[in-house]
Amino acid sequence: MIRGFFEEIGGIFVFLAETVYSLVRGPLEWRETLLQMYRVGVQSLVVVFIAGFFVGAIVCIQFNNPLEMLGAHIYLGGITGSAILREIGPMLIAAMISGRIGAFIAAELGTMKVTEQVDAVRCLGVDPMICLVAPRFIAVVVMVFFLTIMGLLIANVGAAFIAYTLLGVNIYYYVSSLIKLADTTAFAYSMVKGFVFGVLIATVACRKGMTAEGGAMGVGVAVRSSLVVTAMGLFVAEYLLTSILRVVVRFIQMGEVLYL
Amino acid sequence: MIEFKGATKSFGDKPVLRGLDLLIREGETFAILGKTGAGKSVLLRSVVGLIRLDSGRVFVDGQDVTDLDERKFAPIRLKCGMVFQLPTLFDSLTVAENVAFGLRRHRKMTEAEIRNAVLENLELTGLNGEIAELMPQELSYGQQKRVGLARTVALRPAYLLYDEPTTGLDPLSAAGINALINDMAEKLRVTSIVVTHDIQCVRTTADRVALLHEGNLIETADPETFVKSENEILRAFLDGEAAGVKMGDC
Amino acid sequence: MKKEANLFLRLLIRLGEQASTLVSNVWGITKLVLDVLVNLPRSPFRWRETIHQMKVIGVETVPLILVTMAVVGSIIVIELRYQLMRLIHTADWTPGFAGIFFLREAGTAVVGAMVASRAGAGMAAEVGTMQITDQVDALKLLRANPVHYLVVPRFIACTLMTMALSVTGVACCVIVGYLFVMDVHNFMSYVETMRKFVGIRDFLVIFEKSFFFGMAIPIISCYYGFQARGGAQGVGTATTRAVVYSILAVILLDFLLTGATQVVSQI
Repeated sequence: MIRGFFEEIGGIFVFLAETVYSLVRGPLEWRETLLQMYRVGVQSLVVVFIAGFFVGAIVCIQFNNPLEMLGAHIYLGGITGSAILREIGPMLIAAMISGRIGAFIAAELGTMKVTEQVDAVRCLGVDPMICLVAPRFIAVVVMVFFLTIMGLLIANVGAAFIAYTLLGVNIYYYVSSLIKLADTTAFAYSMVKGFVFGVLIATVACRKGMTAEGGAMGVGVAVRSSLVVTAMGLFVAEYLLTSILRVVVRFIQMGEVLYL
Repeated sequence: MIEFKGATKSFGDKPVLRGLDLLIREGETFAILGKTGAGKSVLLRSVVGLIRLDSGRVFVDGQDVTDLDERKFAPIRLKCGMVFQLPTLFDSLTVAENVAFGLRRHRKMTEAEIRNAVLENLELTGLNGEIAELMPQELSYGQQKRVGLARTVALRPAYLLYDEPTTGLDPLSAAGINALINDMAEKLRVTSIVVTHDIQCVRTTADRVALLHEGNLIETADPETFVKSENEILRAFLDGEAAGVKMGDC
Repeated sequence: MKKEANLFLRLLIRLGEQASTLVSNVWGITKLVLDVLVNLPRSPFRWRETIHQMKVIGVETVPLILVTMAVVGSIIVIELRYQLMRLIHTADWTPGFAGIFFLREAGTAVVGAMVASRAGAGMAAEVGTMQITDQVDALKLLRANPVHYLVVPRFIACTLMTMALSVTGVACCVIVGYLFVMDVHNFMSYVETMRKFVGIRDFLVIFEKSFFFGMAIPIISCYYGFQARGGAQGVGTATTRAVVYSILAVILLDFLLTGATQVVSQI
């Protein structure tokens, strides 16, 4: 089982490398990529909006009490916004859409693989990586990143909204502490995470789809396997990224101090 | 020409090809008969690199393709058009987009030229241009098979490799496909390999035929001689087939 | 000009379609809720099936919960620690903040999302497969009520197990969270600080929230399972929908409960 674990990880990185190589070699099929972006993005937009808004509101409410207790209530905007950007936003998006998008891509590619459509592509002298995988890969990475940013914004809107309406916080104080504390670091966190999560979801889903075998059952196996590996990978990535980013940021800050 | 020298392949501990030798001549239609699972498809797929042999060599027009890199296989695949047993049309594309698939990526043609080429190839395979905007799911099985053929011949390959072209078709549709195979051979001047277990198909289309049995070819001859053969194994096969055991791989 | 109008019209139609689907789904789910409540007290009570479901939902989800909560717990502590250092220049109160999130959110909503992903998907797949293989129709023909037969056991099992898993999840968070403030607190002070911020009421909130989450997940999952059409693909679609909308429901319920608690405390 341990060996299987390492094989899986290795396989994922190899597949990622192959995909990147195909992207570099090109030429990229633009029409197909745009079509995929539409399909991947549109289906999740509404869900991200709703989830983001309410989660933002919830987080804000929860921070309210303890901050009040410490007399640090003015920081509500800042701490909520910061937390959303750095941690909650990316994780939320990943949780909501990774399953959907991953299953969608894995199922589609898996079905094409077991019905020999992928072989048909090869026999027509076309590289399946360029024709099938690359467009979907780019679509997922771009869309997950985009949806993450959207989700973060909406979450902050939801948090601010609830702060104003339910908690009676002065909107001016909220926003000014938000701006003050949700700094570039926080944004960097969310963007890096959004990107990495997107790459993870895309790679695992495409790989599982392209290696599906054994008819309809095989497609089911590919989809379930894709969901499990993606979920685990996201947690590991989240933890690693948080740790690494912390160190990197501190490094940069030290560097800035020394430089200045 | 296509040549196999000592082609050997096993799946696990099941040997499927045992040192098979075969030479397919330019311009002929060669049929390979065999029981289901005998390895007929393996031969076809090894020509276009979908399956790699364990040992032995495969030559296409004198070029050794046995260990050819996947990336370098594209020219060979454009030369040897594979016609799959199941139509394997791209189900998210229209019929026209399916047929134009290879054309779009390998030829520089305007939209109008592509449109004409699509209609031309559809007609070539006996289909009406009206179906061009339909989705594959809306076609009958026979129509799908013809579209699959049209998609392959659109690139005008020098060889056509048919994997069980008539399996799953009623006798009338099968006869239509047989006529189509002859049509292609004549109009496009292709060399054809037909893998099948349909005797009628062999009789109608083949110049030469052989039986694949236990990993080797038995009795290569023209259809008439073949059918009259005294070979025990051959007789068993032919009589079994004649008795109406003409189902697909199920 | 015409082209834009056309596109706009198509978008409008699409939105309209989505809205009507939403309404009919909400209505369908409401009907299912009522159905389940009506069938709950009805005999015969399917003991074996319920216990089996409890095993499937509860026991099999435990590893996932442990791993997930460990990660979530550590991240919450790391994040809060960073924020507090920035704001009030001390990490001493971290356990307090962390405790609030552990008990009120992580232990409930995140656990709920995990249960939805695993158990919810499983329920949708099971019911969905039965739907497309006509077994559900067969039940009706045998005069067995599919809701009573399939949904009620899962409903009871999931409600109970979600509560149990929530408690487990919270415990896991608390234990793992400690590891990340070990330099500032020993275990005693860790717990003491937490107790200053969270009380019995918060502990009860765990049960309250997980109770509702545990009810929502099987209802939504089974609903979409029953909606499955068209072979293996239909089951896949049903499963994905079940998971996404279950998680969404957990979020919405969480919001309502949190908001309600907040409003009540402000009165």
